[in-house]
Amino acid sequence: MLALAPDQFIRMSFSEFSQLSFKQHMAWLDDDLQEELRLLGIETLCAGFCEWASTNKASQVSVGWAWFRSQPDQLIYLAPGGVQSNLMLRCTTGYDLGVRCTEELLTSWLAGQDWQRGIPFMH
Amino acid sequence: MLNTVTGTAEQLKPAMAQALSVYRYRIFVDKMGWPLDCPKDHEQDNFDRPDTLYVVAHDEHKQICGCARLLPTHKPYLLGEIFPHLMGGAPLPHSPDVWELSRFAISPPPNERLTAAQAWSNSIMLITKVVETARNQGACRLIAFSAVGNERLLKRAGVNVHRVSVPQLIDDKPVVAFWIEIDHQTTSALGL
Repeated sequence: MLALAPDQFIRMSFSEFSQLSFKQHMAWLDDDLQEELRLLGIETLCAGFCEWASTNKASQVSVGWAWFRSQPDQLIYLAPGGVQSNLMLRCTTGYDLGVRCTEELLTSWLAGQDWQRGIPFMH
Repeated sequence: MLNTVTGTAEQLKPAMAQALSVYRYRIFVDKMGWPLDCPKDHEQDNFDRPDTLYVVAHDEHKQICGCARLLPTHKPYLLGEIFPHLMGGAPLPHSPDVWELSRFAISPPPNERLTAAQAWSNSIMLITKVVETARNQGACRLIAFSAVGNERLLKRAGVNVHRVSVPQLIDDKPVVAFWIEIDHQTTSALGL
């Protein structure tokens, strides 16, 4: 069930969230992010952002994250900084799980998605 | 070490207000390529009103290195008037305790190269001053829209930030609208 509260989080349970369909909204390379990761000691071939959006029309759920392609193994990883969204997950009794718990669940959910398929490779 | 001044255009003094217009042109038109309809070296729009609040960062030579603009949402503001589609159907704020942050920029002082730590410190200093200024006006929330990377940077700084809706392309660049809650989490993270 989607519910838009005054804080404009979309609220639903993880079970409800898991039933939503998502599509990649956009994905792009970002040189500033790559430089930031380099300064953090992460050697990358490229880095950027990826955005997914739920396919429902009303109260569209937005989930976005930063990614990088690692230089050592050329695999694509979620970048430090976590997942950004307009979602607040709640428990079955209706209480908010909180921002941190919501993000951890979204990160866990993302790990099971084949999001790397839509990532651009190089400039 | 940067310093900041805040106030309306009149309170900034004419020289600083003029320098701010030049700085904004250099950043938003020259560097970022925004197709703004303004004369050269004079970036202003309809939201630069007598009651608009500014936060300006400058070095010891009074050279501007950063800026931000604050507008209360119960009066016309940029997101509400020009880019309401970034709300994705969510209602636009219209309240004296919700302010819009726009024209946020930070850059190295002229002829200086900053380390990543210094650049980060300057960014946090400016956003801290923005939040403090808005809070002093009675704001409990800010709404802003910018490149997706800025939302992530604020979150990394510990600010309570969450997006409104799905990012959209503006001038071929992904832009997202987001809330900055002026709450205990944000003020603690910024040392306010």
